[in-house]
Amino acid sequence: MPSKVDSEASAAERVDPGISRGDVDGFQLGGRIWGSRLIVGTGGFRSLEAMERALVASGAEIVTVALRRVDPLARGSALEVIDGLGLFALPNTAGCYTARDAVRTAQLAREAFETDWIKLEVIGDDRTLFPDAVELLDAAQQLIDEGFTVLPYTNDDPILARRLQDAGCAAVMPLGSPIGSGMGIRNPYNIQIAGESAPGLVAAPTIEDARE
Amino acid sequence: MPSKVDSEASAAERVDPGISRGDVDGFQLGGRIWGSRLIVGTGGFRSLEAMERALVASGAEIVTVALRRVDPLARGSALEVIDGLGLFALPNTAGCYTARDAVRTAQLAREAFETDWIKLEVIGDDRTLFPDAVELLDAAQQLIDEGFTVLPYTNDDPILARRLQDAGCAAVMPLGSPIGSGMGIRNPYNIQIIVESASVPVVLDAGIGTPSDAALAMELGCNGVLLSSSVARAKDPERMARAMRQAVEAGYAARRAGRIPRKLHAEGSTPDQGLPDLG
Amino acid sequence: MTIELNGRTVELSPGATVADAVIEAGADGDSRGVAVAVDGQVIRRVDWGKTKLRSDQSVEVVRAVQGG
Repeated sequence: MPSKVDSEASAAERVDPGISRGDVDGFQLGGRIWGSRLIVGTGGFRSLEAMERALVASGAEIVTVALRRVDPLARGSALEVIDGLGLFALPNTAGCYTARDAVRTAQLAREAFETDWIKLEVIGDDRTLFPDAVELLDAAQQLIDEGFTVLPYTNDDPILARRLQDAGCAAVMPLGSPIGSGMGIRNPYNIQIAGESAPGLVAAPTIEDARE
Repeated sequence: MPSKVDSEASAAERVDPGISRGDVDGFQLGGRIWGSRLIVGTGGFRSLEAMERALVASGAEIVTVALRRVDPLARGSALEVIDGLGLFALPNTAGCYTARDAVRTAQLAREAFETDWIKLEVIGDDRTLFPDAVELLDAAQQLIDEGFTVLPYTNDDPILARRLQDAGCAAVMPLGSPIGSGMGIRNPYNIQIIVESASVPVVLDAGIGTPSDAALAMELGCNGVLLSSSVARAKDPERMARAMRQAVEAGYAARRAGRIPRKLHAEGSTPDQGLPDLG
Repeated sequence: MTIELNGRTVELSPGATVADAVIEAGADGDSRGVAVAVDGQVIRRVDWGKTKLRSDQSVEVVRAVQGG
């Protein structure tokens, strides 16, 4: 069915409904108020020390982590550093191509990190790392049914953003350009429209992959 | 499952699969060869006469039409004009929000036009007119199962384009920007990625405002361009239709000719050798 | 017999067929570009004359219009 967007809403409301609700000093995400609106990834750093210094400098409170097979030879652990800094570790489902894999990865992450928050990534190929709209929405629906707080990495399609919102996602996280490409926001128009159609739920594209 | 794109494929093959198959002079679409790579919509014209003159000037062989309830008071018919010009009427499913509605509209169109070709539109809202990825793919799969030749209007998402192609669509028709917005190609990078990975024709559909937009689409490697409003709502539709025809031809020729790479610094074309010493 | 034709309630004689509804809707003799759905199901052109309508059925008669 068509979804009519209320064009009567004031510009301020459309831009950031948080502001109009009196939330001028905090970033509401997943039912909590955060002091920082910057979420930082922990991948791609040359060393744990470099990561630690960058995380402190960023002021981020939420940092993303991935799950991989245990490597008995690995020295140190990103999670120890994150816990040491008192940051919130947000697990992702990077590397999943199907809803089935993403749901299983999220279930593993819930056990590993004792959180029902998940940065949901379901990608379509290994060259663009763009999300697969159909699998992503499917995974989001399943995880929401299981009680997860779902933060989906999505493309810049406002219709998909609305469907993710309607499914109950806690945010929508549209890409600016391919992960790690450093190409910035290729289509600001779509991000703007997504912000209007899914008010209050568009988290800024994460800088996670702005690696060296 | 991941789909690996063969990066070893020659540039020419990636640019235009038609060209590498020897299709240098015609546009392969739905198993036929067409002389024109420009598809024109018939909506939005001020009169049937204006539409007729513009269609002739455009050189288009394929024109799109819609289906609506019979209006007993309507004078003249777009279809009579199209039939009179000997053009191919491609029905669309404009105004459908669900796979179910789009499939039914396509079935009606098959009866009305005696063609199994359908320009598939399944939109997500009435403000952006952007396609709904999930409903679109669902409708495409159902129609392909029923033997339709499906030409889907899609967004500029390369993953969705590949899924539509894998489902058996005869082409993919990504938007440049919202329908009727005249905003041109907002994200040429995505169009380029779609072109690189496509094994079916790519037709840029929606958003064209002016001939340079159509030329850019062809330079990016699209096999064709579909436009309506930019011609129908122009001050002089006939003149604009001719301009669009020329732009599509120019863009296609430029793509085949191979543009020079962009460089930061100058590189003169006049030889330095033999320059006289004029003291 | 009352049916819903293109969103209007109309009276047709008992035993009326889809072909009668097409004429009632205002589509002229040449039926190219015209199609019919009864209760959402498309009725093939060859079946118009032999498909009898029942009371309270919903009939959509559509034709080609200009579109993009």
